[in-house]
Amino acid sequence: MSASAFALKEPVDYVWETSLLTIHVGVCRFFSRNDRERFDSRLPRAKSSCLLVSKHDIAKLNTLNLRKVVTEAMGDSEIQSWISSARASDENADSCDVFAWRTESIFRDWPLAMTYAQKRLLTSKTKPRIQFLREELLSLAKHGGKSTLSSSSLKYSRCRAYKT
Amino acid sequence: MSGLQDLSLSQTLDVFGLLTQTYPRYVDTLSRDAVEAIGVELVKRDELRGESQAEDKLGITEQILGWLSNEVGRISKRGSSRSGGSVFSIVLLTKFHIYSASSYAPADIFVLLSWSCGLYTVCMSCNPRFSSTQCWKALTSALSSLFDLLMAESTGTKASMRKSGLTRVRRALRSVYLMLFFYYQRHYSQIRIQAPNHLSTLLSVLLAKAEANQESLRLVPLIGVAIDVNLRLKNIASTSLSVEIKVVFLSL
Repeated sequence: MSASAFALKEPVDYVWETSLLTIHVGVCRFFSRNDRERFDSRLPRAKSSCLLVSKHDIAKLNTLNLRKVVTEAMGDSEIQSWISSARASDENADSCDVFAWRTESIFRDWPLAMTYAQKRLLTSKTKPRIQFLREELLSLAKHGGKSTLSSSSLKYSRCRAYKT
Repeated sequence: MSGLQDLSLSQTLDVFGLLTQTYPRYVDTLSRDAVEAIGVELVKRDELRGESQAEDKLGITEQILGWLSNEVGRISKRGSSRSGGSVFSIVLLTKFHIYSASSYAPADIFVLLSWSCGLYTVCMSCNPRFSSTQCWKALTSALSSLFDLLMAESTGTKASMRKSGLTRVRRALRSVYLMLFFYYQRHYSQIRIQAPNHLSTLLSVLLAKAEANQESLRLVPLIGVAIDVNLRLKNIASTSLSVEIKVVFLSL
């Protein structure tokens, strides 16, 4: 298993008050593979509670509300169940990939539109994200359903275009 | 006619909910500005709805300010609990170089302060009676708390970020006066009514709060900036502070 990061029980106890982003950055920063040796020498006690987690799973920290999870001591089984639930939610989220961001489809299936927008806002790269914010969401906020679609909506309306 | 409908309250809050997820994540100014523009637009639309009297106001500003107050309270609480942490925990954090700087990011405070400034500008410019509502108090309270947190030495905020925050607040306070000035000049040019100096209202509210509140020191930075901006306003008959404001300020 190519592990790029480690989720630990003990440090979570120390940092339970920190923000989600800080935890994500902290986990990636302190427990990456390159830091393994340094980490082992610093936290020998916590070593036994290490659990290998893939980079993909760690990335899920950004999309899931784990505040509740990290405020409690996490056991191995809890982490495993979290990973499986994260994968399940990822599969469900794939359904929004086929969503077309158009006025009629937004209001026809509002929850799906919000899931799609969330995905665009949280996972896409900077340039398409800004374009989506400025041209789609701002237009929606300004005009609601009365808006006319911008040209970029055609470009980014399809999952294929979004993925590229 | 789903294609022609306007956003309902819940839909608007859904969109705002999306925006709230982004503020601790985005690090680039363009994305932050784009998000702020959307939030401001949501509020502006609702405020204009209330002004036109053809449509009913949905109360989006109240909801958003409620969220903002809650967020500010959470950050303030974390800040105070952090400073009261045990020596043991501080040693642990320092030893492992983990999260020793702060329990919240100064960038988060900066973004929320920017949102507050945007809300302040748009609410005051769209609704001249905004300063008489309950939302005004909530907004000024959030603004003063965030500004104080950003300026505090203990938060470890970079000097550049502090300067940006100060600039942002000054610009917000000044721009509202200019908007009101031009609005009154356009509508009341024949009878030469002076635009109301909203900074006096802001100062009165902040000073009244400071008098009543034990944590009045949190309000002082914003009071200082408001006085500073007020003294430098152009196109105004008198920039000097009223005697009442001076007396209350000196008695703090």
